Amino acid sequence: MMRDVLIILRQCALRHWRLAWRQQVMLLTILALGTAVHVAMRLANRSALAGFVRFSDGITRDSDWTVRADAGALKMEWLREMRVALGSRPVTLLPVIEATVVPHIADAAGSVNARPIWRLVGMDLIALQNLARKPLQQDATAAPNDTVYVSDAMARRQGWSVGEKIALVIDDRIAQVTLGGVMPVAPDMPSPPDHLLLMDLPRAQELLRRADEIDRVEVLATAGAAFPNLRADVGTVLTTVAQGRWRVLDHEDRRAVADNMTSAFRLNLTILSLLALLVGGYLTFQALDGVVIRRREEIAILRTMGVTERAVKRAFLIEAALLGVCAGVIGVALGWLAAQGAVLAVARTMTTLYGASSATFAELHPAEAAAGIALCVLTSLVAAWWPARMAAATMPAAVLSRHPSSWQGGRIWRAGWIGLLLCVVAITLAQFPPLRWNGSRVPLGAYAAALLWLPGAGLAAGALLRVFRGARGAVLSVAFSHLRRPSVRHRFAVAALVSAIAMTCGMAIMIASFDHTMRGWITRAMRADIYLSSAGAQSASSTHVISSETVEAIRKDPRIAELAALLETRVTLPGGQVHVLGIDNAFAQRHELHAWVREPPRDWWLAGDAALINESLGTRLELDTGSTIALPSPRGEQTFRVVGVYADYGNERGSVAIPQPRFRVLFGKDDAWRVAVMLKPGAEAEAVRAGIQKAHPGLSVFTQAHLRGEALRIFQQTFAVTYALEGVGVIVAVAGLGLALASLMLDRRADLMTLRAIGFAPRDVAATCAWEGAGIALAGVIAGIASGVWLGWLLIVKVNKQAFGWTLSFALPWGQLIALGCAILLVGAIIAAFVGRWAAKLPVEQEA
Amino acid sequence: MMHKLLFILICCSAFIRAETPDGFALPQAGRAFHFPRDHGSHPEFRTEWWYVTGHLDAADGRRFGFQVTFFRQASAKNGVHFHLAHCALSDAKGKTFTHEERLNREGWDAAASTSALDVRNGNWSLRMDGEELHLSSTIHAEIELTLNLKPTKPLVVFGKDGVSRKGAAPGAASHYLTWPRLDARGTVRAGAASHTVKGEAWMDHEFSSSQLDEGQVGWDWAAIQLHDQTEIMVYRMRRADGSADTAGTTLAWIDAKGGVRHLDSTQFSWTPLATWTSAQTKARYPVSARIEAEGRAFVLRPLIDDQELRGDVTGLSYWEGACDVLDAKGEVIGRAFLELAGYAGDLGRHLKAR
Repeated sequence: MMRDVLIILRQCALRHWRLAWRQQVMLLTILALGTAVHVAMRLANRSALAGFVRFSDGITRDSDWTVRADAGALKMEWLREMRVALGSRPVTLLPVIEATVVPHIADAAGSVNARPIWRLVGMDLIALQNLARKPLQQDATAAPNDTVYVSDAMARRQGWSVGEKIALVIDDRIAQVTLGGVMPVAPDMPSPPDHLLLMDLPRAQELLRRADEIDRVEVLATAGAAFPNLRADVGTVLTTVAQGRWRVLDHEDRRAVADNMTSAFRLNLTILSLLALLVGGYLTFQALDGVVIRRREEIAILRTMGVTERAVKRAFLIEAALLGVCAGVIGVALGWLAAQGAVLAVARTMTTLYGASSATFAELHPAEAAAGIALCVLTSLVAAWWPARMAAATMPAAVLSRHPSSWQGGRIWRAGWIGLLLCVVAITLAQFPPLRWNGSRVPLGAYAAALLWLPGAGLAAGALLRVFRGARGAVLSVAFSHLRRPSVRHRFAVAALVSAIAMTCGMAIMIASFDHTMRGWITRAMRADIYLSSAGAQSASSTHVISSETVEAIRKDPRIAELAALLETRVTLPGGQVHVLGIDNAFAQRHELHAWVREPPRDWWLAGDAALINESLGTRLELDTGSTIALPSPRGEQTFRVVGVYADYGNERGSVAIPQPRFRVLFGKDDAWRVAVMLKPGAEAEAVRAGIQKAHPGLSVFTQAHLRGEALRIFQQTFAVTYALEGVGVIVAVAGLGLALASLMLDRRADLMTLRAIGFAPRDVAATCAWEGAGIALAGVIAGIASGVWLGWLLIVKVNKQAFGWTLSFALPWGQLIALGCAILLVGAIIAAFVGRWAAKLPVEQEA
Repeated sequence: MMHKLLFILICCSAFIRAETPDGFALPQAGRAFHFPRDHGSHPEFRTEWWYVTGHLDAADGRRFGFQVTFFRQASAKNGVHFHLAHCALSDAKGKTFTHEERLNREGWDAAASTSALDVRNGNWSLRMDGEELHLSSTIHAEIELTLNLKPTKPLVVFGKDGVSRKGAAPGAASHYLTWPRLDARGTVRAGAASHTVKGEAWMDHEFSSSQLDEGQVGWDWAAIQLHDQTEIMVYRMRRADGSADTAGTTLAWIDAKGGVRHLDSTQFSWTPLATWTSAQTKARYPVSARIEAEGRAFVLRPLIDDQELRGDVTGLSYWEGACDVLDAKGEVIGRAFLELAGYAGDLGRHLKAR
């Protein structure tokens, strides 16, 4: 039999590949694109995460342990304690201080997130020479005090040369640094990230005005024969002497922290890429289906020559596998190329959210390439399964008599109940609680529900085609007669449309709901006339502050009625870092700045142990009013009682708010993270803003209206990736419709000839096809929008609540959905008409 | 009046000459040393080192040579003090030489006390506790050296009036204090094996601000411990043409009771006998030499040829190794440490560049 299979492949498949090369190219392209989208998403995702995790790579090798304070910074004096505790163990301790900085651009002060975010890292450049063996220069400490070093890539991109003066915004100041040189690249270490400014530790501490502080200690403990258990030993010693002052993290812990912070975002991307592949699978099916129809005559001849059904089926599956391999290779290559661009978009989104990512080169590992190709082959085989069976079931007599194929794909494909069953399972899965581990939650049930809902709704929607009946006129009657008895091809065309439209609608609803909720929250929370922050505060994770001296200087402005500073620090709780805010409660109450999920009593702040939490933290750590929360602080762990929960769409890490006097005592900080200003009646906000900006060029000063606009702009930027996927959904839907109609017409060549014989003009044939296409499109649009609404509900009520802890109000963008439906109907009908015109001219005997 | 003015000018000029142009102190004749303070650091001088070398024997007959050195060097440009340290171990049986170099700025991880002998660099340390010194160091994670060192002879101060001359220039000198013989006991952990060891060590403590004179490119130095309980310290500062700078060349005999007698360059000879070329640095070191003085000859024969410290961090390579001392008849009459500096490039120029 294998011989027969090879003959079929050579004589039939390869000949067709040669003759109908355009179709083959198209088929390859469809398969390759599906794979490419998936591979690109995966690579971009991983690469952006790598950029997020490994921002100190390229300076040293990966450290064995990282020591961080649970709250605030580490003190320099603790380093000596660590060294004494480690005794004679040969361990390198590398203290690091770091801050995000942005370049000072005089005319960009009014725009958030408009400037690149760099990371200033201070490390002991002298001690570093013990590891790097490639000194930066002969004596790094002899360089001028403001010297920084950058990667070669960054220097080239910025057009910098040695000696270049670079103005940076640090807190509320503008500081100038000088480029001292380019960081050397050691062969056994990754290249330095291209957003890094490296500075000698004492100078960085001076520049950041944090003389006795560091943010972390990288611990390098390479075991040797004399110290075989060094790594574990060092971890134990450092943990033992920590006494609550610091936490010792290994590589996995560090990765887990980054992983937790971005898991929801990355999971969203992965699910979206799988959805793209699912829709790609529909397209592949439709394309392969067309291939089988074109070769029916040949198959019939082979069957009359004694070739078995099994051999025909196997030949088609092998052909599909070959196609899958070719398309997989192309797809992986395309995906890798696309990832280089996508990684920038993903990294930008991650930087906006987390402020610590860099766009690194998206590397392709052999295992990933193999997985991409395997996925493509699998998709191709799954998509070819039905067409291969159809080919095998080809009856020679039917073909020779020019009848359409009688085989309709088996009852199972035509049974609407399978779709309904999938929908029921999806609805059930949506009720599952999120999966929790280590303070993080993944809405796995909701994601699985989304994945099942799309094909389920698609398959069930085939039933809608049966409503097309009772048409007047020959053209409509012929068109509707096909829809009334839908073939598997019709059903799949509808299913593909429904999936793509539902996906697009779901996204649109999610974005509209976010938009609606955000606008409401912004209107409520942003009531001050003017807002101040460091111009360096370009992301949610920024650490830049405004000194208390600057705050006092601004307060003296006679046009200012009230001024409230928001103090902030970060502490580590299970699942990641959390903001602790020191709030001016009187100011917040007077102006009703909080949108309450659980409103506290008005005098809550009088109790010394009372705290407010945001909704995200409450969901993540399962806290509500009455719960207690233990916060690490430089003065030891402090337990607070949760008395209120507020809505906060500003961060998904979670925040705890305590009254300012308590904050100052616990964390010893008085510098402001943000400042809100209320003006006296009659004061012109723009004039005051301009005055403050002129006096303090290191600050970002916003009027209320401007900040609201900026907040919405950033929000839109965060969803940039999602908008692109919406577009892909629409294109896929329309292309799928065109392919399905082309297959249907090819299959019905004999019928078309009969129609022409009984007096149908080519125009009528085209109209028949257009109506049939419009019918499929209409069924797809109706079912697609309906299932998209449910998908939107799932994303808003389940996924976002479970993943981010945000309660969003459900908003239906009716106008947008109707426009989308009309556009697909219109484009669908036009494409169907084109296919009809092409089909009307189709010679019956032509070899396709 | 004129006499009074002249007296003031002479005092001032003496004061000015006691410093280098960039403000570091210069060794002064007749300086009174006070201990334990003078075992500690002298940050007013540019350069200082605590240099421990020695020979150790394990119970199973294995023999080790070791060197642990703590340097302090002040940067002329900004006054920052750097702490460089070297640790090396020669294994005579295994014919291996293992070493590590490290550099840190003064601070939390590297420091030298100014009140007593207590110097450290990362996990390496040397401190004095009463009459005993404690030395702890490692070489990567492969070797650990833990020794207690007890002086068995009194401290020696080399040079005329307490100033050891290294060249003709007034500043080319140092204060040079030495324990010429210390009883050494402790453990050497080499790989998985731990050896209880005992032997004898030598410790130099030297501080200066302008060690090398103009035209000097390096030096040869040896510390010889003879079985008859006498010691010899000998050095010769070398010029670029290989000749010794007579003003910076001396040999000091230390008798059994600790008395010191200095010979000048005309009273002894140093003749290289064999050379070894480093495959890494291409430097050619005269690793064996004959020293002749007052009718006696001492041949220094290295335990192993490759005892080169390659200067992984600083780029300064030199040879420093354990040797046997043979007399004219070829009999072993003692042990020595030989230092050959400036063979892998002009040391004077290198130090100035830093």
